[in-house]
Amino acid sequence: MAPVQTTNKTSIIKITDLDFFYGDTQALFKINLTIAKNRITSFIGPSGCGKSTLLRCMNRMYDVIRNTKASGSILFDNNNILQTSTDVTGLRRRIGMVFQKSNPFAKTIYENVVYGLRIAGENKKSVLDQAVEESLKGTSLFDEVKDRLNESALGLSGGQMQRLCIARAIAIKPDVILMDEPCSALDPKSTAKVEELMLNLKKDYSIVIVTHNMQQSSRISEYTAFFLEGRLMEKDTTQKIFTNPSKKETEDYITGKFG
Amino acid sequence: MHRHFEKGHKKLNSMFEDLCNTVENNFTQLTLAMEKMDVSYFDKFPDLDLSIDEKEIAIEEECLKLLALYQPVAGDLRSIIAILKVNGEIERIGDLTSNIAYRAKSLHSFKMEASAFLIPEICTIVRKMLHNSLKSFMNRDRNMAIKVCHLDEQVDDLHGDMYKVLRVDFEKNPKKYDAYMSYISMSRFLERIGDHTTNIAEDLLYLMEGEIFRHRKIEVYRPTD
Repeated sequence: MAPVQTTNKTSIIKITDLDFFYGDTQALFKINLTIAKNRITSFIGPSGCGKSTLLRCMNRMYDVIRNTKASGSILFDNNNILQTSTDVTGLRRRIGMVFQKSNPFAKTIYENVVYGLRIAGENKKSVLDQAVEESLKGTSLFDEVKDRLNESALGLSGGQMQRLCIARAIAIKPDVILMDEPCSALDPKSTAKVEELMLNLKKDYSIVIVTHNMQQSSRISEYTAFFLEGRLMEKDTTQKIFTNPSKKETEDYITGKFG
Repeated sequence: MHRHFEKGHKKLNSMFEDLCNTVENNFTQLTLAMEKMDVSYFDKFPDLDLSIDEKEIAIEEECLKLLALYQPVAGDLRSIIAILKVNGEIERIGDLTSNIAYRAKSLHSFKMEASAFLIPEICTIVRKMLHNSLKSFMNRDRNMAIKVCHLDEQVDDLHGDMYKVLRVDFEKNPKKYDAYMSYISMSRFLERIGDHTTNIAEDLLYLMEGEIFRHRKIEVYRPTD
């Protein structure tokens, strides 16, 4: 069978009829969604609505949780990544992830950034040096840490740690970056820096962000998807969602009338 | 959070309703005063307009406060934006009403009636447009708002006719140039009030449907069944 055309000039991931289960509990119901290329797409919805689960499906992070099951398809680069034959390590290299709580390794700043490259077998110093400089510049961190690259990453501030994690994610040059509430533990100044960084990064990467901060979603994303009880209720341009949503549930949630 | 916003929104609505009632009442009273040439009412105008200006500023400040404190979105955002815009339209209607009163008074000095030529007809339609635009906004009545937009053409036509009628009369009484200037100004002010009421109606359509309706041909406005 000829591979289905998944990606074109405007989309990078195509999710079709995705169901997801934790044991007997169904967390996602028939999700159909396309992720736009070189754009920021945000997932919003109340706690437990399935937005983080969907994010984790997109690079098979659920594999580390026992007794989970996904059906349907997530097409990325013409392959259904849900297939058991998928090279998960390779997939995660191309679809990177940044978590809510920054999780730098107990290593130097330099080693944190090159971690993914070393795992991929790259040990040439000139290549690693270049990757460190590019990634740290790309996350606007270079000037702040260039004189202490060999110091522990754990000495950085919360905002710097989160940007270091983003630098680590982009060092291996993925196609997509998944971000699970990347600013929820940051103060407004650090949040502003991460948001500015995301806007710069979309030139080279497609970004999907889960956020509880509606203003963040409206500030930075081009597309917004609203989830409720495991279902995708509405996806549209962010402007449409925040000025004139089509569904009453979306309106109730974003205006705070929900529940 | 939303409860706090609702409280502020309710207060804003009540301030806005008060402004609408004041402006509509001033206009209605003015048209009655014009019929009777009640100069004492014309004299009240600078003060009446001052109170409208104060109300307008208070409403704008309340809108800005709600926007800054609660960052409303979707229907809540559209409601604040629509009130903010209509607030400006209503204030302009207040100014124009005041201008009409000034011109009506000047006609008194020429011993001429303010309600002459086509002025009564234009006043009747504009009064209806003003009343219905404000009522449709308060009651979120889409069809009533669309009807207001359709009435604007009649006002424009009457204002156009006013030039023709006045020209004929002016040729008979060229010395009363200033008086004729007052008539044409009044007609023009009334026509402008009509325009502002259609803006209010269009702002209501935006509030309800999230789509900007301004600068479109009249055929676009379709009442629903």
